[in-house]
Amino acid sequence: MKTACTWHYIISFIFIANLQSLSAQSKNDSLVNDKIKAPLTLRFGIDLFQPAISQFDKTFKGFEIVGDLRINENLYLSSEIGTLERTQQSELINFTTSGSYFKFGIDFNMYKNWTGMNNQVFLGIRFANSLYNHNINNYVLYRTEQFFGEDLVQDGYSTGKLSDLNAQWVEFLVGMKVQVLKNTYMGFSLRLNRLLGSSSSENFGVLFIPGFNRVTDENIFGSSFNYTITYSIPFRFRKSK
Amino acid sequence: MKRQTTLISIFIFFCFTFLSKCERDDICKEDTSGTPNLIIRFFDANNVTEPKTVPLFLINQLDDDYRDYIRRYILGTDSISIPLRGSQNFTQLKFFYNWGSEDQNIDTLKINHDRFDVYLNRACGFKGQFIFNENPIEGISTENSWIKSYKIIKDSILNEDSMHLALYH
Repeated sequence: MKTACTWHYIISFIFIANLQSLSAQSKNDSLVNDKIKAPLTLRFGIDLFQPAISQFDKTFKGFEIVGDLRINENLYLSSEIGTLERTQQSELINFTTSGSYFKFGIDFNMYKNWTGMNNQVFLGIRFANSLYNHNINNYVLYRTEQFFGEDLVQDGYSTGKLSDLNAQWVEFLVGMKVQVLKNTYMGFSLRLNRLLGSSSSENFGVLFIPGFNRVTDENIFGSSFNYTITYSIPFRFRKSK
Repeated sequence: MKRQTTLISIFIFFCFTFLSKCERDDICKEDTSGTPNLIIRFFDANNVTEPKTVPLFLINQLDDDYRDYIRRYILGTDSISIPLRGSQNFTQLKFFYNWGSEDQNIDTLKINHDRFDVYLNRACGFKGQFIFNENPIEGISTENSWIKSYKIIKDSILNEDSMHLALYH
């Protein structure tokens, strides 16, 4: 997790630095007030955080594709699709979660751009669904006193695969996207997740959901984030007058 | 500029919330009942309803020295709880009657059991529950055994609320 945090900071620092330079730049520009109808813009890219972590952490493999479509001056249809495989030791249980998730929703841009610029500071909402499997690799039997050493159960009993699990949740997010090169944007978003429903197997709890992350026993909230790099393709099929 | 400052402070706030990771459900509550022990009570072989104390009672594993005992009752007892093995489907233990004295008598009991594991929660993980096999107790039929016979009171060991096994001597 240490490397994760380091990356977390490095990348976010780049963003903040970028933002500063942007505002410095725009002070010198003259204000143009012509309203140009926003073209429909399709933008797609990937999450940088998960592939970066996959390099360092052998227990983690993740990939996420992000995309959005600008449908209005300030409104975007957004989506994320990802897969994830993660092995973790949760107290006495070691398990691997593998699965994929799909998130779909809208972003509302609150940032007033200078003409020709397309930076975003947005609030968004997503509805998300995940299909995944758990594999319980091993666990230690819980005992209040130990006489025979730890009973590590590595096969049989409750170990093995629990498949066809699913979960639905809603995400509220805040984020930004900043243009770093022509048509290329970098951005991040922070998400608060609220679990709506999940299927759990009879003899195991819901400890982790791809896309949602850690699920705690005591509440239905979770959190996640992503750092994205995206490329936009502007196209218009409505002629602006 | 003001908006940026606000956003950056929100961001920093989020960073800290991500870093604080210790949560209440990481800790298994102490009063959670774990894998249950087997509860045995001892009765008089001649009068099966009468509890009978085993004097100078010691229980340990087969290969262990008596110093590494599992249970020891200097004053004797008529009820014990013993752990069952999770790594094998039997538990073999030595029962010392009048341990250390001249008429010491050792019975080696083999308790055959199956296990199934039940999920508790994130912090505690799984606990085991046992069921006696078809041939639950071995090792008490010889002439010299101080334990004369046994009776299964409950064939599944789910908790430690009451006795599972009665031994007569």
